[in-house]
Amino acid sequence: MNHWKVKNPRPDLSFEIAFTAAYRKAKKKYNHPAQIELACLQAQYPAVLMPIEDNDVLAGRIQFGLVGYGIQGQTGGTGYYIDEPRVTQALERQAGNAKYREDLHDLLTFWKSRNTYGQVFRNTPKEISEIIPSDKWETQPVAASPIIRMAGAYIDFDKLVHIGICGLEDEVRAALDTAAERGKDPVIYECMLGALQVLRNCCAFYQEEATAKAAVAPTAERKKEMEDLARALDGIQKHAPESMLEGLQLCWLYGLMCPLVEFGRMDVYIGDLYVHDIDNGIITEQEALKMVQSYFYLIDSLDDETDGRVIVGGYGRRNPENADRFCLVACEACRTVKEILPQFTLRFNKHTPENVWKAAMRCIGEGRTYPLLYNDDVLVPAVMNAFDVDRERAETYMPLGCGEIEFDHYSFGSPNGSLGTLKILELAIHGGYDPVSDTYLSFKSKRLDECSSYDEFVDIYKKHLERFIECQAKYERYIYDSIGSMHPFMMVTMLYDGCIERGKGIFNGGCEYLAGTLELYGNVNVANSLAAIKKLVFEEKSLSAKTLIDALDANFFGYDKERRMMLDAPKYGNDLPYVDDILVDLHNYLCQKVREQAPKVGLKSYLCVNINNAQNTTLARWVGASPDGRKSGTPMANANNPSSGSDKNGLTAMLNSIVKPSHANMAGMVQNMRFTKETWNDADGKVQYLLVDYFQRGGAQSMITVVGKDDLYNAMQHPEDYKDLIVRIGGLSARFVDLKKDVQQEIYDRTSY
Amino acid sequence: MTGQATELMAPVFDVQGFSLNDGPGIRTVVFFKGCPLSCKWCHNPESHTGRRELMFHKRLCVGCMECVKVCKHGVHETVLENGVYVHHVHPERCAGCGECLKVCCYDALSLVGDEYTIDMLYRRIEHDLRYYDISTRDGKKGGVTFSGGEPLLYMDFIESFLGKIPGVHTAIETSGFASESVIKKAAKCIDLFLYDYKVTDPIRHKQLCGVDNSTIFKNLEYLYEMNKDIIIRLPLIPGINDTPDHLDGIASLLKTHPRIERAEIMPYHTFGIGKSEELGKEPDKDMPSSGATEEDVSRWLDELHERGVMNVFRS
Repeated sequence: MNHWKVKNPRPDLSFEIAFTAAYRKAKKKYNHPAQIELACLQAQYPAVLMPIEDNDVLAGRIQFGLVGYGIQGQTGGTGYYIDEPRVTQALERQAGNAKYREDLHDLLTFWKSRNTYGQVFRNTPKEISEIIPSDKWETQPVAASPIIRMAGAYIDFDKLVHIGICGLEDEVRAALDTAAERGKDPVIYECMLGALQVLRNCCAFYQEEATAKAAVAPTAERKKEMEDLARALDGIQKHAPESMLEGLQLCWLYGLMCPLVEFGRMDVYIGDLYVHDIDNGIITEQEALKMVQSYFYLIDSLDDETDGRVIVGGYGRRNPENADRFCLVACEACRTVKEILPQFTLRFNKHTPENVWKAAMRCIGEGRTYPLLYNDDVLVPAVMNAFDVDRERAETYMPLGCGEIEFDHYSFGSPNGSLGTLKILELAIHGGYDPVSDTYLSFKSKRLDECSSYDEFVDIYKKHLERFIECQAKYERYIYDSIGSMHPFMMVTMLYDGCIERGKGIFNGGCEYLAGTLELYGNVNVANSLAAIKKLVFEEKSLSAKTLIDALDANFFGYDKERRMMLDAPKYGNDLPYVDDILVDLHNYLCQKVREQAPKVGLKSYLCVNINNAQNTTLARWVGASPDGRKSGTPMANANNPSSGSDKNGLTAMLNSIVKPSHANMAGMVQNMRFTKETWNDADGKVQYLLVDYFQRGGAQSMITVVGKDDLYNAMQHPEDYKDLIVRIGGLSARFVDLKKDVQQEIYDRTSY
Repeated sequence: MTGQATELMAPVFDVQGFSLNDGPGIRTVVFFKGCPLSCKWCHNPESHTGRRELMFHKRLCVGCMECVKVCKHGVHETVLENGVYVHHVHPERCAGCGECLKVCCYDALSLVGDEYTIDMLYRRIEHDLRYYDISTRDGKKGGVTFSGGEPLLYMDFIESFLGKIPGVHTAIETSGFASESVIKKAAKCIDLFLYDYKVTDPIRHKQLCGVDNSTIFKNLEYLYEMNKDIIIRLPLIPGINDTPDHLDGIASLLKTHPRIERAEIMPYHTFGIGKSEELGKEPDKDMPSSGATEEDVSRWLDELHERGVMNVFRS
């Protein structure tokens, strides 16, 4: 999926071959996972680092290998990974000599059983795999699927900037010195020191390159930039960052070595250095902007469209004044770096300065889709309740990836499972049977036409949901345990609260607050479907359950009248209590049922999220026709938004509906709004006042695309003219013309006000 | 006259929440069906009569022909054209029974014009009430705007309806063509008049809009004398009514009525042509086939400014 935007990719797989040799050697020599990890880090860095590019003022381009080591899937894979299809491709191209091709064959056979993902999936306990047998959610009908990865590392950048590499080494050394008396394993500490040495090597690697580039720089300005950079790279090897450039450079290289895809509360960790440099005349505003732009371009170069978060604003910052000054530079960088990443996120509250809010509105108004807006005044209390933490902790909440909430360098809540709630409704209607795959995907139960009341059917549906939810919680725990025992992820571990002291890998007893999240897809279609069933089958009795099932099984062929009845049943998003109440009931049930699992599986919290990342389209391909009138395989509604075109009472009624489900028992819910440029830029600012009102009455979150509907139509006809058109699809922003046609059509069909 | 309200019901063809352009703040616009005028450029051809009408949205039709099976009035037909069966619609035969809508799953058919009671209309706008209180940058709040068609046809209905929403700001978008008693009633309960000024010359007005404009001017004078808030709306159609004498007339009106807050140019657009086709009506051939351009609007503004009126804006 990712191609890591680098100008001149490596021509062959010699890195991958060398990495594999290093792993083999380490495996022979060591038993301790930290020692093996260190050997692999040494093999991987700086080998995967790529040259500084012409406009970079920070160093750190990367091309991850097709074989390698990482934490979150999006940088290649979780743990030890191999990209089999692309290695196979390389082999099929018949490149290189006989030895090279032998080595490629060796990569495939060697890693087949040793890659982390495969090991985790293969060894899944039977009690789980019997209920959730497949991880092929893209190509097979599934009710629930594991997502094997460790997503969402938010390390303590602020601490890193404060103490630097040297300070971190001191802390690890001190822990090592007392390891014996504390009964801790010294090996992990020794390996951490080794890992930090690898980081120094990376700094030195780029210092040398920057020095060389300065010598041949085409302009005096470029020469100065490269000289400054070389000095900064030298500086951070010797002391804690003393300038904004040093701070950014250290954070970036440290992040690459984790490797990270989320970049934390940047206004907090860079704010002080920025203000220091500006107020002392060390840099100009223009230079500061260029650095932030460069940081943003580097984040974009990771090419991981569902991540790359940079967060600014909100409660819980130790340096709000400096941070707010930095927010303005960050907003300007966001406005001017017209790329898909970072997913620039503004946490705001009633104290957010007007100039920050205006800068954010300007970005959105120009069609950037950023910043994503998070309302602290609603979310902080909700997070306190959902995660059972105090206010101080809640104020450190961080949305990761597509919107799952964690706590900065304290908790880990990797979303490691998905639940297709509409697929499960399809199963419940058919008594556990899946008509798409012609198999039973759940237990046998009464079919809808055997139920004597709506409540009886809903109870059966909830039992099916419960079965998969319970199993997903076990899966989450199992994935943590399995990966935790294999990988210490030392670079991340060192900057998570308490892990150094505990001397344990983050997933092996290091993390203070191990949590989990379950991604839900299809809730809105389920609520609409239940409303149709309740009204037509059980209340009006205008449609028999048998006919309804026949109509669904026929994908409505020959059942147009019945489909029209289902389409005309109340739909979520119109401020209609009949169906909105059903959605809220379903939402509350799911939130509570998911939450209840945490103590059973030994997690601090286990919460659902209602976010999106195009799975509303992908998962839906394998869901048959549904009682909301949706035809087989067509997209489901996106996150907590109404189904395409079903919000017929207008934006105001839609807003009334979407504030109904509560955030207080879950870990994130995404709300998309799309406005045409003309509406957004209305001279009296009516939309922006409307938005303020939405937030004041409990709106927690909003992702806003400002675009002309004509733009979208034209973009489908003439993609070549619309390459810069970025749209928001729930959890991510994407270049519209890169999306598949059905996804484009779905976005076009979504109502735009 | 078509569309007379009886027993306080009125035909409504659309209710639009979150309306930003028809009065201050965030508003709901209620579009009544039925109009005594017949302006050739009208962009709401579905509003002309007070009765229900069938609209066929051809681009959404998938040719399933389910409607053909259920229609008892011969509105829908399957016709062989160049070896392919296509769907033909005869809206003039439609009795408004709605059977075809019950089988069309692609929203290719709609019936415009539902008879609303006061309660029905209240329930329809209830979602929006809270938004009227939002003050926007100009400090003004929103409310309800009655449009059409010609809302003055349903003044009894409107007056009664307003009893349900006391204190809400009200506006009416009107041609001003109504009897003295109606305009007096409107003056009592409407806060803002978005008042059309279409053509200055009375003969030409009759040719283009179907009625004489003397009543319209008389009613405008009355509202002005009553100190009502008035915004003049100027539909300008290139080559049709953007004549020097009409621009003179606009300038003269604004100069002699200084309490009129402003005038807004409503540049001609062609949305009505597509809707006419969907209603099975022939669009007026005399009207331009493309909308007014930015250059047209700038020219009109310049010409009006040259005539000494500065309170004219683009809508």
